[in-house]
Amino acid sequence: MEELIDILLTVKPNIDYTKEKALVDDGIIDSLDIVSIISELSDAYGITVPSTEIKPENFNSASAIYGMVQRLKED
Amino acid sequence: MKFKSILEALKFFSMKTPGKLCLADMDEKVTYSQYYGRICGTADFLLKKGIKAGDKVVMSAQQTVGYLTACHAVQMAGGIFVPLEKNAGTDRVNEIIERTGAALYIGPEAVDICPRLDAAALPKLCRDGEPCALPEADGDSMILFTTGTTGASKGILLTHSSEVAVAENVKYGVEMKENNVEIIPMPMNHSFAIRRYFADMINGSTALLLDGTVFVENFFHMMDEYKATSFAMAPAALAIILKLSGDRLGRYGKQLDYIQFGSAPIPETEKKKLLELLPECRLYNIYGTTEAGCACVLNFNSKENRPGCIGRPTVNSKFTFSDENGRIFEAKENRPGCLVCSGGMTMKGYFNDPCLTKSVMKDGGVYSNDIGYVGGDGLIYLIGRADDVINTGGNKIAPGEIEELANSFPGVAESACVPVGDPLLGSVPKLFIAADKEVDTTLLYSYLSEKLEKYKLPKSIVQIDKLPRTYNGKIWRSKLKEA
Repeated sequence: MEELIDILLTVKPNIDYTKEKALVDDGIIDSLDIVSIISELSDAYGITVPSTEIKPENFNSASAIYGMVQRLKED
Repeated sequence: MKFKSILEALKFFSMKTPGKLCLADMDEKVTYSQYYGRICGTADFLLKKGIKAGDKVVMSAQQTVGYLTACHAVQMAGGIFVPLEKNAGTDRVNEIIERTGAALYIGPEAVDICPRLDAAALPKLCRDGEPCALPEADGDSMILFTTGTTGASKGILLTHSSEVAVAENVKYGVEMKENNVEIIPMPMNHSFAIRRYFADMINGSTALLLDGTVFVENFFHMMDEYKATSFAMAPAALAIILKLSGDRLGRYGKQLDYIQFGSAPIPETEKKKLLELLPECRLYNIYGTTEAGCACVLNFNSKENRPGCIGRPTVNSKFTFSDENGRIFEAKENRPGCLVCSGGMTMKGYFNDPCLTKSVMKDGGVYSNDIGYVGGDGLIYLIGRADDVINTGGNKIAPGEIEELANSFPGVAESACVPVGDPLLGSVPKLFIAADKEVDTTLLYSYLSEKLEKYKLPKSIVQIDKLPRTYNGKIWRSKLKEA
């Protein structure tokens, strides 16, 4: 989880990813941030994020992103 | 039919094609009859709340049916609609309320300097009502505020007739068919987005609202569900679709009639990709500003796709050119000038700022910093912006000329040329190139030197991963100047 939060901070700093639960819904991260996060996740974990996984609930919090990464790593 | 306002068009189609799908978002859809009924009901509610002719109503934008209902209801009540960015914070909302003296704010921010309504509650408060008198063509309809990223935010005041004129520019510019079904995945406070919607409304077609393209399955869901025949977006939104879905867009080649792009020129790499994926689709790049919308249109899937070409003036638009002293003259390739757009689509002026208005408007024309000319083929060509021109020892260089040449060199994806300081000549051109693989800059320099005058040759060439771009996709030249 710490590694993931470091990745998120490189994409968009100055956010408390341990607390935020509505990153997308509250407009804290925008479309371009999500695209950057997807690229960074692909590089860091060797996963491909399919379009069906790109939905607000999977990007609203660090824990949701972490859960998605774990699922995709298992696939 | 020539409409006096977008509202008049909505009324017309609510009677002509009442059951036709007018508008949909991810949660709801309305026919023309339902939509016009809701607008009347909401206008009735706003009038009872005390909204009067000329009152400004500020609203945080949403890509929803409810938001556009409120927009037209304000106008039907005689008010002036003032949309703001979706995520505008309290400070920004307060600033615009103060500057406009708004009578009402509709949105999520807790403000205490004017009455506030919750957008989500609005539909529950409003029932179908009797239509009010429609606004006059020359009445003020809307103030569009720029985001102010490059200076103070400017309020662009529009009239009902100018909204209709822009909508006609779009409708005829893209050769919109009667059964057009258009996805607009753009923020509805943005002039490009709301004007594409207006064009669909004067055409009696269907507009589909979507909050961006990053949730790309939603985009393709709309393509499938509503059999969309067109979409309108900024190049950045297309880049996201291509990145997240690969070549999937190519499956819609037979379904799509056209795509229109605005806000920024579409990068060459994406242009080439689209031409491969959708060889039979009309692909438009729109040139325009909030001050003079959809002034010129180019189908870049045609033989008119030439370097620097922005196409032909649209139906309500006229182009002239001004020299360095602001005088109109006949600009040619060897003597370009600053573009001046005039026609019914131009703004009334900057809100509450006659000095600023006077600085860019003269005799109904909007003076821009874009430099161009009319080619021998009758098409309009752009070579750059006046503030991008590189003055090297008294010789003026349009960066576009160097960039176009650099882009034609094998391996170069895109390029940008900016001035950098020089102790002898004042400034000299420096070329940045972006490419996937390493480019031999010595060979590139030789290639340029075969085709350019010596003073136009870049002092240095630097390869970078990608060109920096502003939020709306334009090359961020000032950042390159600092690099």
